[in-house]
Amino acid sequence: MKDEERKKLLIELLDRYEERIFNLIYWKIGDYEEAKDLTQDVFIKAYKALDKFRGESSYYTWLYRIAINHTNRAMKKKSLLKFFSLDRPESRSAYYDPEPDEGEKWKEWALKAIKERIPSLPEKYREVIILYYFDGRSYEEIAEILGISMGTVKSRLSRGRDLLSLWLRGSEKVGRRSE
Amino acid sequence: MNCEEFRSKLGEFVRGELGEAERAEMEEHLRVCPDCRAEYEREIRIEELLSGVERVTPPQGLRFEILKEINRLERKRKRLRPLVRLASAFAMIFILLVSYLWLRRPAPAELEAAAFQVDLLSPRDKEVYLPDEVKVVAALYPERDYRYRIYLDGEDVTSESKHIDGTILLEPEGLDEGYHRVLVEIEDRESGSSAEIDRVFYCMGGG
Repeated sequence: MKDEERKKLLIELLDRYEERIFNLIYWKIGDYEEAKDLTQDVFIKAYKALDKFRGESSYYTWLYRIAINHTNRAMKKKSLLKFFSLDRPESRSAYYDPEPDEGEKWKEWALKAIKERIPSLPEKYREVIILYYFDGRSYEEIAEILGISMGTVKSRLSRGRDLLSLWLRGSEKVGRRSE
Repeated sequence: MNCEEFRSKLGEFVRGELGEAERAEMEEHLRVCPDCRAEYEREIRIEELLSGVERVTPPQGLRFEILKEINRLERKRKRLRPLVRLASAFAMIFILLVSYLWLRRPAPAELEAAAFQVDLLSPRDKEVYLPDEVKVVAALYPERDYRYRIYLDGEDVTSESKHIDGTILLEPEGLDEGYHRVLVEIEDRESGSSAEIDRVFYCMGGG
């Protein structure tokens, strides 16, 4: 592939997937600046590997796989660094103050709480939640991207949602106790 | 439908993925079971919450940074291209050379035999020599550690020989007319293997 063709293809990929890949990474790690750097890495990696792309999967599956693998590796490195530097994860705003039936107020709190909580969900649940809810991917597409069965996608999605739900309820209770 | 069944299908129910019959069963259970109804409401809330998370807008300069980095890489690649070609040519020559030497290498058994092989260049077998022409010249493989012996008509004449850089040289004097026999024995000190070579030659006239 000629340089010009590769660049043209890259721009097409950026048009279609820049925001999505950024969101995927952002929700995986919960850090805006780092998501920017990792997104940049992903597109550069993809650009370098464009010649090797065999068209066995669609561009988005291929790109998502690069993004997921690259982010996982970066997270692994970071968690090792954290382990050695004994850093604690940032404390999360968390416990619920308003009553759950306060409608909009509760919803606002819960949405904020969920956003904060997602990056600390176990990896396998987080990935499917991000792809399904935030990226609007179907079960089939998620199964292809992650290389797992559709049944596993469904069960991980359900388990991830249960964890978030349990955590929300727990936060509500603790919040009320501390009032 | 019991509570366990209801909860196992709750996610699909909430997302509207169940068939009509199953959906009707779920709705019936919802009507009669307050615990499951509370669970359903929670599930709906979490589903709404997750579906309500908006996409985050990527930083403005992200695309620019990506394209800038790619241009930088391209420039670097173009600058290095002649060097890469030169290096590839050298690498190719090296590979060819190594392949040639590899193909030309003796097989392991031959190699072991070669290690203690002695090549007696002179005298040639059943050849006639004038007395002052007789020279025993043996070529060895110089990089190995050998022990050798030369016998002339059964007598050990090693001490009269010289060994220089893998070549053994013996110039016998006063040989009588008639047949003579030279025998060179060689032993490889490392492996203990040995080889020998002998020649019969005719010496003319008296020395």
